[in-house]
Amino acid sequence: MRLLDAVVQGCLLGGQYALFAAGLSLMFGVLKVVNLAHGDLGILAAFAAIGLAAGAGLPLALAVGVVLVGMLGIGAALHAGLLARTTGALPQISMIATFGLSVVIGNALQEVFSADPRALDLGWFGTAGVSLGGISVGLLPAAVLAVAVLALTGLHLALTRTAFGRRVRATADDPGTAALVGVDARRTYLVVTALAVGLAGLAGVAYAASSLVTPLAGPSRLIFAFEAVVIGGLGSLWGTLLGAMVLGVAQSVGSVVDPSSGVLVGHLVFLMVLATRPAGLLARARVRA
Amino acid sequence: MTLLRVEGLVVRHGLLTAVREVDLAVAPGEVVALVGANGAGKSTLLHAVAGSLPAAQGRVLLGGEDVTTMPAHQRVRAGISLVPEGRRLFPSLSVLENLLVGVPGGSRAAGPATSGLPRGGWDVDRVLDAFPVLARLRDRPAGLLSGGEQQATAIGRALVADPALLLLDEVSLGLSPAAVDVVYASLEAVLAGGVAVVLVEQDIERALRTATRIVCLLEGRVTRDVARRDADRAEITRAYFGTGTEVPS
Ligand SMILES: Nc1ncnc2c1ncn2[C@@H]1O[C@H](COP(=O)(O)OP(=O)(O)OP(=O)(O)O)[C@@H](O)[C@H]1O
Ligand SMILES: [Mg+2]
Repeated sequence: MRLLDAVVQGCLLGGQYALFAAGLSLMFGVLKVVNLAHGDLGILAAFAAIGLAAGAGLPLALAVGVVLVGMLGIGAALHAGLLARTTGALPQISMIATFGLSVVIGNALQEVFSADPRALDLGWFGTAGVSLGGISVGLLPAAVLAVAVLALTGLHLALTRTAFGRRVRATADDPGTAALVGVDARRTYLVVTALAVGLAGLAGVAYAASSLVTPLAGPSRLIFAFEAVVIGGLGSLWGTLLGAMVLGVAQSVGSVVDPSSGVLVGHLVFLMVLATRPAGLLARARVRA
Repeated sequence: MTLLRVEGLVVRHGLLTAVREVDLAVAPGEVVALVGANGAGKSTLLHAVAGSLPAAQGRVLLGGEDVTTMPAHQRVRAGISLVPEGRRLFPSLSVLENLLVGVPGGSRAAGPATSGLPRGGWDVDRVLDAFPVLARLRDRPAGLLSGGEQQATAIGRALVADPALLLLDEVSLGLSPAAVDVVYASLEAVLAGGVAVVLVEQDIERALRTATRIVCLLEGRVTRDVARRDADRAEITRAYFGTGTEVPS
C-alpha cells in the first residue's frame, strides 16, 4: 500500500516534471537548440504571476494569462535577440549565452523578490484532494499532470501530423535544405522557441502553485526536465512523458525507502538508463542519409 | 521572354571567388546543361540562383523581377527550386513527408511578375504518378532509401513546389548506371512539361542528349554558351577541361 501510494504520488510529481520538460523536449530534443535558461524562465514566470496576483492584486486567471502571453513574447525575443545570432556557430556558444541568461534571471529575481520562498495562492483548489481507495490524490497535482499530458500529446500530434510539424522536423534535420524547399527556417526556430518558453512559463506557474519557489530554483528544474527528456529519448514527446514519470516515481519510491535520498535515486535511475539505453527508452530510430 | 537572367554575378566562399561575372539567360521551357570540371563553380552558381548563397556582385532576375536579395525560401515560391548535389533529403521524414514539406503553404508570396510565370502544374499526386517508385515507398523513412530512390524523392520534393525553373545539381552522382537511366527516364516527363531546367551533369554525352543548350564553366567563368545543334563534342570537352583556345561568348 505504501509502495502503491508512492507510485501514485510519483506519477503526480512526474506531471510537474513533464510540464517543465515539454518545452525542453521540443527545443532540445527535436530542434537541438540548447537553452540552459529554460528552468529560470519558468521561475521568472512564477514570480511574475506571484507579483501580479499577490503584489498588484490582479485576479489570478488574468495574472496567469498575462504572464503566459508575456512568456511567448520573451521566447520570440530570446530567439531573435540571442539564439538566432548563435545558429551556425558551435553549440557551445548558445550554451554559454543561455547559461549567462540563467544566471542573470536568477540573480535579478533575487534582487527584486529577495531570497524568501514564495508560492502562488490558488485558494481551496491548491490544497483540495480526493481519496481513491485510501490513496490521497491532490486535485492540483492531478490537474498539472493532465495539463502536461495534454501539452505533450498536442505537441506530438502537431509534430507528426501537421505541416508545421513537418517543417520543424525538416529544419531540425537540415536548416539549409529546408530553406531550399521553401521553409522559412528562421521563423520555424522563432515559433518553436516562443512555444517552448511559453510552456516553461506554464510549468513555472504550476510549480509555484504546488510548492514554495525561490528565485534560484531554475537550474534544478532544468536538470529534472533534461533528465526526463534524455530518459525518454531525444525527439520523442511520448518518451519525455514516460521519462518524467520514471523520474517522478523513482524519486517518490526512493524517498519511501530513505526520506532524504529521493532525488538521488532519481539521478541514479537517470544514469542507469543512460548506461543501458543511451538513446533513451523511446528513441526514434534516426537514420542518416 | 527571359525566365531567368543572371547579370555579372560574382559569388564568393569567404576569400575564394567561385563564380566570376557570370551572365546567363534561360528562356521558359529551355533545358540548359551546365558543364565544367570539379570546382568550376557549378554548384555555387546554382546555389546563388536559388538564394542559399549571397551574390557579392551582380543581379539575379526571375521573370524580370530582381530577386538578388530575396531569401531562398521565398525564391521557391517565386518559382525557383533546386535539387541539391548529394540529394540532401530529410532523413527522419518519410518519403511522402519529404514531398509534403516542399508543398508551399498559403498563397504565392512573390510579386506579380513571377506569379504569371509558365509552370509545369506539378503537385504531389502528379509526382507520385511520374515517379511510381515513390508511391510504393511513401511511408519509408528517407534515410533508408537506395541512391536512386533518394534522387527520385529529391526531384519530387523540388517539383511539388511547381517551379518555373528547376535546378538539378548532378542527379547522377553516386548512382549505378542503371539507376541513372531510371532517373533520366522519369525526368523525361519533367522536361516535356514546360518547366525550364538548368542541369549540372558530369557526363557530357548525356548532357548533349538531354539539353537544348550547353553552357561551359571554367574556374567560375562562362567559356562556352551554345545551342545543342551547334555543339561539338570535342570543343565542349576542350572548354570543360580548359585546354585549347577559349573564346568568351
Ligand atoms: N562551402 C564552401 N566553402 C569554401 N569553399 C567552397 C565551398 N563550396 C565550394 N567551395 C569552393 O568553390 C569552388 C567552386 O565549388 P563548386 O562546388 O561550386 O564547384 P562545382 O563545379 O560544383 O564542383 P563539383 O563538380 O565538384 O561539384 C571550389 O574551388 C570549391 O573548393
Ligand atoms: Mg558541384
